[in-house]
Amino acid sequence: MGTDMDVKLFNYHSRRAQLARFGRILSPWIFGLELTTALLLVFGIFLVVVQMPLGWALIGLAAVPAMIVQWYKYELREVPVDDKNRSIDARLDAEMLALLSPQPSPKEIALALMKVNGGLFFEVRFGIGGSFLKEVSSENSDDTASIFEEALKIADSLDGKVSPGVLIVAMVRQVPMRETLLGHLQLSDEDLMRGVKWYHYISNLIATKSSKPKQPGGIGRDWSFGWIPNLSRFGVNIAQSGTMARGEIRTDTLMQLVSNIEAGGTIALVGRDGVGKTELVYELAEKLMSPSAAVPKSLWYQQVFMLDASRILAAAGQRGGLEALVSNLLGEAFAAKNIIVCFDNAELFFEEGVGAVDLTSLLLPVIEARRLRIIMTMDEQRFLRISKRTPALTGAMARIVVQPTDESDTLKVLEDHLPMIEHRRKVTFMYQALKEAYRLSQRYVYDVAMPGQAITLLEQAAEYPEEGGLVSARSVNTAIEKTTGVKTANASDKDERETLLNLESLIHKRMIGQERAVSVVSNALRRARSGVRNQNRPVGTFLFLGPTGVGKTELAKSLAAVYFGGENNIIRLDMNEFVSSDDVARLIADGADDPSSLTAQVMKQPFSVVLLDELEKAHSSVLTTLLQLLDEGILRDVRNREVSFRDTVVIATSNAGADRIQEYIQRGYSLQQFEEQFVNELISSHIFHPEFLNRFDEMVVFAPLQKNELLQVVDLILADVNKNLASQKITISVTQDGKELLVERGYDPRLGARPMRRMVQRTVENMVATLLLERGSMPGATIEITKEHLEEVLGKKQQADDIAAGL
Amino acid sequence: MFLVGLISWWYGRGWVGQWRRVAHRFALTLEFFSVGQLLSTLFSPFRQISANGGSDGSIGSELRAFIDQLISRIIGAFVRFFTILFGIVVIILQAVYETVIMVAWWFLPLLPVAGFIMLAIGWVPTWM
Repeated sequence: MGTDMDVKLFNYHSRRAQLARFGRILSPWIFGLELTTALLLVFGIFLVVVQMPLGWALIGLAAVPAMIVQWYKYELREVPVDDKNRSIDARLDAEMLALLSPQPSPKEIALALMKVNGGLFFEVRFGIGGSFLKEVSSENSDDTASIFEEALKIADSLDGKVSPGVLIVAMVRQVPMRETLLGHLQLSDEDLMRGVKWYHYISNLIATKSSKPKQPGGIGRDWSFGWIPNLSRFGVNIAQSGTMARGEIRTDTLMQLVSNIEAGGTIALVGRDGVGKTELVYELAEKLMSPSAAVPKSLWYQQVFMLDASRILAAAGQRGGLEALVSNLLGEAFAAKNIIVCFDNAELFFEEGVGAVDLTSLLLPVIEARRLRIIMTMDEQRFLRISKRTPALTGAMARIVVQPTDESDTLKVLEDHLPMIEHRRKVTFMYQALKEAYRLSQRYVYDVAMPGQAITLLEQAAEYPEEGGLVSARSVNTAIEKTTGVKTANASDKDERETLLNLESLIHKRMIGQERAVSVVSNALRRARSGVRNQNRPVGTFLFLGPTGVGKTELAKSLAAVYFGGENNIIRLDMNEFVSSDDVARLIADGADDPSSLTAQVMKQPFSVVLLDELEKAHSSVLTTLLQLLDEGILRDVRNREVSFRDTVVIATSNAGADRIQEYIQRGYSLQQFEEQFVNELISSHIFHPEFLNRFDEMVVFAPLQKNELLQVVDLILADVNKNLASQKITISVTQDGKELLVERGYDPRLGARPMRRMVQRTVENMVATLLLERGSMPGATIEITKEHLEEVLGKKQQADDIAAGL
Repeated sequence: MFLVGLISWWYGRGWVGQWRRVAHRFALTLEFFSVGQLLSTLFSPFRQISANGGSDGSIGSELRAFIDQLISRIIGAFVRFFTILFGIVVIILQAVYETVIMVAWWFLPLLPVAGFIMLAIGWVPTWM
């Protein structure tokens, strides 16, 4: 206990603390001291030369600033951590140590964090640092011991150093409402710990970078190896460009690669695009150039040359020329004896096509001979295709599969790539942006695997920085919203919140009745946008049941118009076109072959309403295919890509049991009375499998419209007609008895309200057209249509029936 | 404290650190010239210049390949020999320089005192 008390108490007078303070004081004077040294020496020598003994004193005095400069450079600038001592002043970052008073309070620590690199790193990357902590920290120096104790505990679990990041984590852990605070910043304790490791990695990288030799292996390293003028022209020695990767990811795969390379022959690095095959070759090249005991001696200083396919194809001209050139390059590599040839995207050399050429007959004997070390990176699908066509080729290669990275490794890759992207784009990324890029790219970035998926999205997010060039999680959300239209962030905009809260009334401006259906759909959307829904399913999946013309499709359209940005954001599939098992292929076809397939449309427009009309007509294989969509919100297309439906509202409509609904209504039941029983009957009828029906969030029965609702439908149709006539500056109105007549003649129990639109449009528009022709243009006029007017047109029942039937 | 700290570092950790830096610089120079490797490959063909020449088995082409090899080896030996020579000179010069630095390190704190003694003596070198 006594020892614990000691280590967490800050000793202001410890030797290390004093050195740190000296370093801080001297820091701004170093250049001046160097200049003084030089001037004293020059003047001193000059005076001695002109026979003045004072010069000796000046030369002697020059030693004083010179020694101080040496002391600063080699000790005071980075006062090393004392590993043997576990006290806080032995482990604390020197920059911080120099800033603390004899009895620092938590608030003072927070203020010091605002002045040191590590503190600023957290401030910018995580949005949490001294400026926030000083607001929530106490000024009581007695509270400091617990922070230091926690910091030492954290440091023990890492590399022993109490860096500013470690202090920040320790201070955050002392905040009473830390979960709320971290939640607000979209962070967890684990994220902060990752941040500490990230900062330590960068610090170590900077510290060790300068001590590496410029020419590993020496000046004569390559003199015994071959002259490679053509390889230098058509390839790149990738060890020279280096890699940003820290070499902690996929170490097993890398060592497997090293061991296979040592055995000789050709290695196929197979994996999806973006998975990091090329990066792995770069890591190998770097590893061979700075060899460790893990690298076999026969591979030391072997150089990996990556061939530039486009340059080779451009230079070769004719086909024979290409083969001669590639043959020459391989011969050069073989003669050189220290070259590993890398064919990046090697499929380009085994297939005919644009920018590709089939050199199988040339390369096969070389690969089979196994005398030259070759690495080929290949897309897995293309590898399988080549394997099927020329089994001998792939059989002669050692295959190493490169798997996509998980979240932890992806974040490391992103951290490693950030300096490059930030330098190119002149922005700074927050850690939250990296996490968001991982999360969202999984769902919305197709055709590449992790970590390429996340890097792609991060590059896009750099286009939408916030104030000060800071790329945050919101920037990533914006990038997705701009490219796919999906609203990924929780609803925060006031207009959107208003829309969500008033969704029912907005939908009812376009459609009449069916309150329950409107309500369940609205609730699903509100759940989704407030972030309380299951993120691994579609926003909502609904089965609308009911007879024709009761508003099932209209509700889907209204939803698309009101919330999904327009009626165009509806993906509509008539399931009566999917009546055989072969039609499954059309459902999941590749967008390049069939842009109207369900997967292709959702890939292009992931934020939309998916309307599966007349579901009961689809083949059972089609319904089985849709099971995963309803369950997990994903569907795999023919290329085995996961297409996300997690931002869609899936609405299936069916007329199944429509007669039964009519029957219930005619027997005087209300919808609430028979809905449950009807659904049970539907399950028992085996029109749909129960497991299929169970996948829907809700099954909503649409009842036929009542007379008062039909009158409102007439009003909506008339509003549409008036909208069309607005350009003529004419308004029409229909009297109440006229509307009732339209309902009476236009309503058909079998077709619902569907004939009504035709009836109203045909009669009213015909009458207006006749009037316009008779009286000429009448801008500003309001035409009132009465029952009598309508009876003149619809007088004969047969005529009305003909119009209703569309004849 | 400042002066004590400076002097104790100078003759303690500073001195050890200086040795480490000297050793590191030496290691870099030795690696750069890689004398051992140059010696072990002294008579290897230079950049495999002869390696691309194919032979059809005739006496003429065999002879040409042999002469190519020979020339390549002679060039290699020549280049390596002079590199080794140059490397050795550089290493010796560096050794002298580092020795001077290491010795001077010990006497540097005494330089102000020595300077004032010289001032008191009043001796200056005469050039004429």
